[in-house]
Amino acid sequence: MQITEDWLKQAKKDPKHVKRIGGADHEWSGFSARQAAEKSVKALFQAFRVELKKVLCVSVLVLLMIFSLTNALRFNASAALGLPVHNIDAGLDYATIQEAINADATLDGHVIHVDAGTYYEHVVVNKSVSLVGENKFKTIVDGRASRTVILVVAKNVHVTGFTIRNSSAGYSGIHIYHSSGNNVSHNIIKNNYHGIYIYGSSGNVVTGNEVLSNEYGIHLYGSSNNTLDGNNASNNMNGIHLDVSSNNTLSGNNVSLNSWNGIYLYGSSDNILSCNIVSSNYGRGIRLHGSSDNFVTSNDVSSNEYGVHLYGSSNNTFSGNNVFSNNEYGIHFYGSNNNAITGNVVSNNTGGIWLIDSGNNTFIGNNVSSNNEYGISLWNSSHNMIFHNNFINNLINNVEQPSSTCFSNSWDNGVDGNFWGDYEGSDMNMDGIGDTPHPVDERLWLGVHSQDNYPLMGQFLQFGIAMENQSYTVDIVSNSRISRFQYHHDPDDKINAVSFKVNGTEGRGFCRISIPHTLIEPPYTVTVDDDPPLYNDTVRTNGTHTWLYFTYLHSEHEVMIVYTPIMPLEPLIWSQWWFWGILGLALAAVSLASFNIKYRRMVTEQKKVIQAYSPFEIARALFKADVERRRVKIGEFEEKYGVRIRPHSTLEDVIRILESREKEEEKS
Amino acid sequence: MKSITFAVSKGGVGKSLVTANVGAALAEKGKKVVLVEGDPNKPLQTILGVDTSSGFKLDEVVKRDMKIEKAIYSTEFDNLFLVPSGVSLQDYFEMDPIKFAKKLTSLKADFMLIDVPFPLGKAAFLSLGVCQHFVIILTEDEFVLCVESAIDTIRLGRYFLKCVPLGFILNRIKTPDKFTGEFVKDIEDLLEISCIAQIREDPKVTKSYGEVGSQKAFLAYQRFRGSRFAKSIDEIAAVLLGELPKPEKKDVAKFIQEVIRPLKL
Repeated sequence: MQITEDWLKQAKKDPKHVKRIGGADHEWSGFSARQAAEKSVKALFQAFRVELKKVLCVSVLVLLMIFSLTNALRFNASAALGLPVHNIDAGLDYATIQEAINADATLDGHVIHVDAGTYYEHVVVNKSVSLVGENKFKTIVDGRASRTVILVVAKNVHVTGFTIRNSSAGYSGIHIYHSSGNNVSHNIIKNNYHGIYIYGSSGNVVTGNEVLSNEYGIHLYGSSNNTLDGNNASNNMNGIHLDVSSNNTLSGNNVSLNSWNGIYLYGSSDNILSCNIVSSNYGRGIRLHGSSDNFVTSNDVSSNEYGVHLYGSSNNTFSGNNVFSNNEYGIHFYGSNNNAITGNVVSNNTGGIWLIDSGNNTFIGNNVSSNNEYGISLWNSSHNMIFHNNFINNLINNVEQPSSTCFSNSWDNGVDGNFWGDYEGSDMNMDGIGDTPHPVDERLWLGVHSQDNYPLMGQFLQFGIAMENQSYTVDIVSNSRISRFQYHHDPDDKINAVSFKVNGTEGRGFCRISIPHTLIEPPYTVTVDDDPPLYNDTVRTNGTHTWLYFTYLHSEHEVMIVYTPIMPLEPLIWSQWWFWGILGLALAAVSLASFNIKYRRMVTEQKKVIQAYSPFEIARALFKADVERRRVKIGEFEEKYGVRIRPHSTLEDVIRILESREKEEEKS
Repeated sequence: MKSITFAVSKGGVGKSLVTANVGAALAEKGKKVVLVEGDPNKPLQTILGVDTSSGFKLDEVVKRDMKIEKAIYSTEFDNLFLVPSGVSLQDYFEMDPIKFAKKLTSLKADFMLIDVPFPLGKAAFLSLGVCQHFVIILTEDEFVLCVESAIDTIRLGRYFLKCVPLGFILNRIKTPDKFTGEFVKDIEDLLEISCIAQIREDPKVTKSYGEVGSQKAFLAYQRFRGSRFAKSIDEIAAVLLGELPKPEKKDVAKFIQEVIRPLKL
């Protein structure tokens, strides 16, 4: 009886074992299932011998056991027949990834789903399929330190959701070879020689991958127009390495803790590196060697040995990068010319910017501050143009031109220079420019070697504004903190304005702002907290920009600059010919009117006189006056010639004598 | 048109003779001259030998409101015409002095010379009232009376009748020695007008006047060309041809209506 029970116990344990191992090892589970069935039968025979009456019960029990065994066998058979690689489109399963790819049923465009598990394979993808791992942590393709793990030679292949590891030296985790349109995303790629190696290929997208502990994290060779976005390339020797590759875009990648270079461009041109975090790499954060015409913008480059390093590279543009806390220099040029470095922050590095044997580079609008040695060092470097930069609190000095091999470096653009934290000049004419030059390189035996002729009185700030597919910049020189800069644009009403906050603790604050006329056309009204500034003047205008200067007492203020339409001034009225014409006519009219009034008054008075006196009375008065006047003459004549002349003394007398004479005549 | 009358203080000063001869002298110089005969004795008709007995005269023109051309008679001298008044000028006062004046001022001529008889009465008022200028004639006979009358006439014309004295003529000088330069100058100062001409008494000239109605009358200026008389007449004509003092502007008809007529002399 005891023997029967022992067999039965054994038979019961075997299906549990099958369940435990599941479908991972179908051969072993099948073996266990058979063992369970065999032990059950042995227990049955033992029971017949011991106690017949118990047969019925035991039989039922055996039946139950057989039923459970059948279930276990059915499960084990499923595990034994269900292969881990599935062609979703064809509905077929395969034991290996390569089998699935190679299968005749697998066509371009098919999706191959790979169950979690470790696949020791060297996959060659020669069809345009998508390989989708069940879980990127558990779906592991392991090269067992031999050759390339996944080699992509077809186009438009997608590889996602895998851990891809252990290529041999010189080989790759994923190698895209002379192909295009492939997408490698969200994989963990580690312990390979090349994590991702894109060779002679274009138009591939590599995104969201963890590329760790490879010699080369992501390596492009002779490849163009590829996009590397949002990958983490860390703990490699080189994080991302572009080798003679062009027109690729690297953005949003985290490239850190690599033992040599973070992002390394060798002989590569026209690539765009933007918004990457490049930190704590033991060599260079971003390194360009013999590379040209690349755009490196808005990257954070920190805590590397060197932040940005250019060697023999030209015509590259570095803008808006934050280069800080690097162990050596923030930006280091060696034998590199014609590069433009604008709007970068270079701070808290051991040294800020270091040029050796480099010329014709322009440094504009950079904020170079709080570096432990020099803000900018120029060794044997000439014809560089450096203006609109802020050099503040660089520990040893803001500038170093230590040898007499530097010539014709310009520290201003003929109008504006740089802001120097150690400049002690004044600005009496209130234009935002110091009244005395700032010596840049003063030597005992040469005197001032070079100088900034137009040192700025405040920090230079630049704000970009995009409008109607055009970008514009507004430059501000100010001794205040500027924040919340905004451009207000109303195309309908043409009400354009800029506003910003100024903040300072004490004394008088000032702003000198250059405004593109395209953004706001002049003339302008400046208000500080809705009031006119303390002082306000237009410094200059060049037809496209106007520079305004205004001051205020330091505290927090809201500044608004707005277009103010004004009525055009009429020319001075007395400069107009018609003014004198009208004035002349008016004077003539007044004179004539005055004369006319006088004349009319005189005529009126005469009329009054005439009306008051009849013609006869007037004649009588005149006659009488004549008699009086001529009386003396008549007397003299009488006396002289002894005669008596008696003319009539009144008009009435004459008339009367005429009447009397007439009557006498009539009588006679 | 220059309208001139010769004013005298008494009869026999040679007024009509001077008028006829000055008219002839002006006509001979090409001016159209109309002589208005205001003397009922018709001395001008006599001197000029014009018979107006069968034609219209000024009084009829005024009464019937005819054109004055009906009463204009030509003489044997070119440019010299005669308008017989028909009645004494003083009769026009009763008739229609305004129309009389209008008719005369409507004459189309260069000169109108009005001959009015002595004494200086209504006729003279009318004559001075119509004319712009007048010339005083003095004679040696009754010289003081002439001067007294001249002073009266000048005052009357200048202040009352708006007729401007042009000067005086010393006519019928019998004793030229009396009329020295100084004497003439003193007369000019006294009358405040200048002497236009001195005409000596000449029996031949006096004869030209003839008797009243005599056919023997003649125009001395024409007959005695080159004589002293003719030269004196030329001097007078020269003055009249020259620029005369600007007369006071007067609407003759209105003037007569407003000034002369109310006198009711």
